[in-house]
Amino acid sequence: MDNENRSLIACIDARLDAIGDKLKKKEWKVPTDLLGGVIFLIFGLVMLRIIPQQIEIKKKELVNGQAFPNLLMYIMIACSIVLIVNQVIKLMRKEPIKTTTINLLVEVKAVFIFLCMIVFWLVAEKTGNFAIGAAAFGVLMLCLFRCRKPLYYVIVLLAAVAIWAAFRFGLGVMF
Amino acid sequence: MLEFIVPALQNLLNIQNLLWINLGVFIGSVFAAIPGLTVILCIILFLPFTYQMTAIPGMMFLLGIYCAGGYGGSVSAILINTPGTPHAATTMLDGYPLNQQGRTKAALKIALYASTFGGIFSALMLLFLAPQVARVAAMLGTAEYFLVCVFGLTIIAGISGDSLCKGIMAACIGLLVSCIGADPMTSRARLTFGVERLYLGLDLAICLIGLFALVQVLTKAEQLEGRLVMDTSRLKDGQDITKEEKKRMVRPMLVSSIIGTIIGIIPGTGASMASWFSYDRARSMSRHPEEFGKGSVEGIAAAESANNAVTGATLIPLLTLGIPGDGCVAIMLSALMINGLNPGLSLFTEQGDIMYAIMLGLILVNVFMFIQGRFLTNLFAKVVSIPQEILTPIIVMFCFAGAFSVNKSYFDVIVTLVFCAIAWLLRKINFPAVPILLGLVLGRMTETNFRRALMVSRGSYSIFVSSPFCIAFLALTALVIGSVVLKKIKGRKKANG
Repeated sequence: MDNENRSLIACIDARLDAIGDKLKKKEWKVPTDLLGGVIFLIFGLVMLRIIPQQIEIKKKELVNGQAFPNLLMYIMIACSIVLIVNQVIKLMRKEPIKTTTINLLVEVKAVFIFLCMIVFWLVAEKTGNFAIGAAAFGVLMLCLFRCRKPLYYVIVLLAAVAIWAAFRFGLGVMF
Repeated sequence: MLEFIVPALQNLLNIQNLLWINLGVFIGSVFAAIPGLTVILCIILFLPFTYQMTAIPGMMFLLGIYCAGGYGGSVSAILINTPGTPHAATTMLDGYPLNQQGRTKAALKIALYASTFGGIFSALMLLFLAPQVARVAAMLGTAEYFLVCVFGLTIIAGISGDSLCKGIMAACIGLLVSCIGADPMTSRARLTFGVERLYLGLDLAICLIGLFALVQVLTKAEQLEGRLVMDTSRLKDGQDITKEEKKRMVRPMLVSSIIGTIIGIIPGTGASMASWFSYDRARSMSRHPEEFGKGSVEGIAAAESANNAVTGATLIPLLTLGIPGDGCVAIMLSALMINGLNPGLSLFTEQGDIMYAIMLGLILVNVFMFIQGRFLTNLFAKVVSIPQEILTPIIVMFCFAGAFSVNKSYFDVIVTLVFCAIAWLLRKINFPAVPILLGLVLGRMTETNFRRALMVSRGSYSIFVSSPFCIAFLALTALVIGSVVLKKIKGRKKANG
């Protein structure tokens, strides 16, 4: 039985390694400043449309509640344009622009960690018990790190209960 | 001032406060010693604990973490050539070579002595300078206050990233988020998107847990650091500091403490800048510049005293003007404000017994940091060996428990997750997160003063150039922008040959 389990784990490991190797090879270079400028420009323009719907004002007001958020968005748009223009000029002059490498394996791992956090929140909220959510998250994370040491699982589970107890009994947080 | 010293000491010197200081110092030293974990992360994780405390123990706990973070980073820098905190990189230049010479104990002791000296020097500066600065701050009107906020935001946006534009855009995000909730002047809902819970606004701690703590966990996807094993047996061996070396430490410690204090007062500069600048000064002033980088006693002393001298100095603009000197103290501002302590002159006159207790407490924090450093460094080094597989889930558990405990609501946990996703995206496109934090902290103050000033002037923007203070702060802001732009142009010219 032990041998069967071991070969199953080895088989899963080999599959995961193969998938990991494939994902690791997929990389893209992203122009960070150009992309950031475009994202913030779109965000600023969208917010300028949303602000009047989200912030009610009265005509009598000298300086209303929309003034400051609008000012911020104008500053953001101006900075985005400066950033984009700067990058476009560099591209036209064929000068190097700032880029970052997006590796698919890293992003997939990050998404999995983020999903584990969502599972934590879901389990804790649905069960009404923080410790259960924390324990589930701890186990998921150790599995994600492909940890084989039973002691680590025990330590993480104990930590989940200890943190719950510290907040529940030490700080009076009911969860 | 003197009338507050006795009641302040009575408030400060009790078992509860001393315990919180020691707990803070211990946690701060351990966190800072672990490469990859930052002092800011540690303060964010433990901030919700302080919401249940009164001002003095809460601030003592956070200051304990903050100050010990200055020293803790040097432990791993000296022992394993990996700085626990960014500013400990300077200590590493001479600390690790001295360790390699078989003088581990001496290197750690120099770092500890210098850190304690810098910390106490800075705490004394805070004690004497803060009330004077607060008196000047009391003369500022709404227009001046708005421009002080703009200056603070500009300097931080300019320094914290590789581009001023990116820093300003990130600060705008923080300022916009601070607009969510009730309008500070009319109490009407703003940017709540129909979610009733958002009317109360977003708590700073909840946003920061997502922005700085949870995102740190996502970075484990990039690289999971292996287990760091420190050889603690070397701490007991080796030659101690000689009398001659102790004499050589005095001058760089004093000069660097002054430099650290001056740099710390300027918002956005921080411990790293103080360390590098002081290290450079110490080398140019030394009679043995050839020893720098090869285990110089003066090098370690200069770097460590400078980074700890920043700790008290960053509190000067925070307590007097509400402008945080760095990210860590920005978080502490919320711990102060939750206890009804608002920055300004009233803090030193009406709540002087509490404020002086906190400032005197900073001296105690440094004393306990010294005691723990002398006797517990062995233990700090062992804790650093905790495997990342265990540490990472525990950090997330703390984050979630902390986020929930602020308002006893799982809604806040979702908010932290949203901020975590935003921080991850910003990280991918190389946008700095610290200006967002400053925007969040200064948002309400900036907007309220902006609107009040315009109401006073009946909508005329000329109020922002109506006094010498306004003109001075406008000039300083222009100077910051000008110097950043100039630096950029020079850098480009240099790159082009």
